[in-house]
Amino acid sequence: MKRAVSLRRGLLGMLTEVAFAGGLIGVAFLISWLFFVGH
Amino acid sequence: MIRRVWREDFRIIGYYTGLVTIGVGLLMVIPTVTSLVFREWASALDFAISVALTLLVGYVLALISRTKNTPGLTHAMVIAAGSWLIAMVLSGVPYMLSGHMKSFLDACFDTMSGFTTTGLFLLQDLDHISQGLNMWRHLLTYVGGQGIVVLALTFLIGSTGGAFKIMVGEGKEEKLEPNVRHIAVLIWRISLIYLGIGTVVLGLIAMANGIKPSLAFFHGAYIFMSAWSTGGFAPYSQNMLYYHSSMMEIASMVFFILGSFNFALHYTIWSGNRKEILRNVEIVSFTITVLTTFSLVCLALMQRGVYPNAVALFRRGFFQLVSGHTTTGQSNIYARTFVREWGPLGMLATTIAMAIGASAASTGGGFKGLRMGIIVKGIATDIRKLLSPERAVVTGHYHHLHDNILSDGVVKSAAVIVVLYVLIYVVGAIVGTAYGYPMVDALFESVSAGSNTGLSCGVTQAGMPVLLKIVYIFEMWMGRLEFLSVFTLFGFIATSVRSMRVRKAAA
Amino acid sequence: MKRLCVILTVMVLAVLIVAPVSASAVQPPVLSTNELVENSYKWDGQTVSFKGEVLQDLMVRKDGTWMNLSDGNNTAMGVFVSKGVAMPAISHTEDYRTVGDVVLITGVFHRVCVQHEGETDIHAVSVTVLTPGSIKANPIHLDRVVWFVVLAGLLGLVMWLYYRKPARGTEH
Repeated sequence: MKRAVSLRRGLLGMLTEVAFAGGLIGVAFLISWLFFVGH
Repeated sequence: MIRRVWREDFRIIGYYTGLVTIGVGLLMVIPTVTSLVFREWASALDFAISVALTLLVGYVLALISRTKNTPGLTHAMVIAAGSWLIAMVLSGVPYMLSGHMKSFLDACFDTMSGFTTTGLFLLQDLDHISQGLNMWRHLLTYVGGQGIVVLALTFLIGSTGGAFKIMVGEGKEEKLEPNVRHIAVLIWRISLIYLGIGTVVLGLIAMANGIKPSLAFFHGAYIFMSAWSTGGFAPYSQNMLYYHSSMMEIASMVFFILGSFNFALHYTIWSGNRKEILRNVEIVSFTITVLTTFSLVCLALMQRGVYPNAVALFRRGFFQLVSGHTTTGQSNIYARTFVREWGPLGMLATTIAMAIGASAASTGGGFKGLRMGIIVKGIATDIRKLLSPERAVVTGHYHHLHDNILSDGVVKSAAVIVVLYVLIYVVGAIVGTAYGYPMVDALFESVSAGSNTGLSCGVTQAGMPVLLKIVYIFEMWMGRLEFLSVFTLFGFIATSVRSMRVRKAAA
Repeated sequence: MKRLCVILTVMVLAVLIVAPVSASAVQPPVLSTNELVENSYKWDGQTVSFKGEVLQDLMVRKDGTWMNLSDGNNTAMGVFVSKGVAMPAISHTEDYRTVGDVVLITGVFHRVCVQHEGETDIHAVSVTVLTPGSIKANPIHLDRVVWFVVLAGLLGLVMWLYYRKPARGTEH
């Protein structure tokens, strides 16, 4: 039971981190797009 | 602090340094096997020689210094710094045997660059080296990121007291768990899990992009190790440009962003506290400084009309910037493009990003987001104190795993280290400028070395001045060990000399 | 006399007609990676020639093939050969054990290729194999074998000495 919980937490943790990185990349893309729109 | 150096001190240092050296020798078995798998017989022999030599040095050291005593804090610092130097020299043997180095100093430059996860290199004709040597280069950064010392801890040393102190000397002092062996195992577990996932993901992308399956997963492993360790090596001289693949670049970006995180943060998030990622001072600081420096880069690139549309601006501009800020050093533009197209403002914004760097207790370099956050909050708290009525008690806080008080001591420690980093950045820039390199270029390259980034604007070449090579080697070394270990090593040497004089006088 | 004039006139006209045609068959300049990157603005959009050894991975994509051509010490350029362009058979690509084909291409250099999201590349319009690749020798040197044997022997000795003393402070 404990093993399953920690596995699940680990997996969710990994997904959280990856989602954060993805989000940062997305915001950066938005910024580049805004620079072109405003030009 | 030790006032005098006794023979026993040498024994402790010699013994543990010997153990770490044995660890390095064992590591060299991996590229040996790689060369055998690819039927690169001459390369395999070169590695076999290197394994034998390194293990020999390690065992001799351990044999003559064998001791039951555990290291104190000073010993640990000296061991950490000393191990890096020995590892730098011995790891250079396969490079020298390959015939791809112009000098032994160049080999030391490359191995120091590998272990410190910098990524600058002086290797000649990278496009024609063996798979074994490529495996070794990338392994160096992966292991270097984990810390040679943690490697030794996990496999060779049983005692907990001494081992913890060696790790502090290494610059990874987060209090994760009481048992230090446990910490080392944890760091390795997280890294190995990502290694597995990363190799598969990047390997599949490589295959989808037209690379043969038998080679695709080696590329996947190399690029993952380069990214996660924020090292920045790649199997070919074109770096990420070799692949001509946005998927490869994005996947690598995700891995190097994650690799730049504090291991304590990984542990906290993987244990269930996922909100930490939004509250942690390092992540907040990183997000703000990445987006700010990127906006500066965009401004510079737009001013000069370098890229024709948003996609190109993002793909080239952001990749370099975030590669710099995480102190990775992978690149999808040519080195000279920084100078010939991006121009001074773009280079300066990237330089600032590199200087700040990644999170503490991570594979990254720079003076670290934690210190950036602490100093900024420290300034804000001081301003609040000034504006508050005299009797009011103003205390600053910062959130790192839990709420922490922003004491004067904390701010001071952070500021001292930042000053030291800026000092090495500036010294490197001065030496470069003195040799005639344009100041922007010299500063860019110096910060790249000192922050262990590895982006190059063309200064790092085999033909560059010898003194500059030595300066960069020192910068990489000091930057990675965050100064304390290196200072302790020199202090130890000075104290030994003094002690020997005292003993001679007394005799 | 008159016939001689006619023949001469025809010859002159022939030369004048043929000459411009052969002028346009002159090879665009063969440039190096360094030249292209240092002066990327100058060569942007120009038709250039490039010569290099084909590096290990030929990447076949939906709309064409990517080749990385190495033309010197740590310099290589990405060359895109779109589907419509004739691509000769590449017999060898670079490897530890093989020297890759040396290929000459002519194409348009892009400082910042729009199709490829800002890459610095050359889109080839013609590809020719100049020198086919070959197998590399990579000989094993006897003196290195000797070194290995000697070092391994010494190592064995030291390891035996190290592990045979059980009582002395081992922390394994």
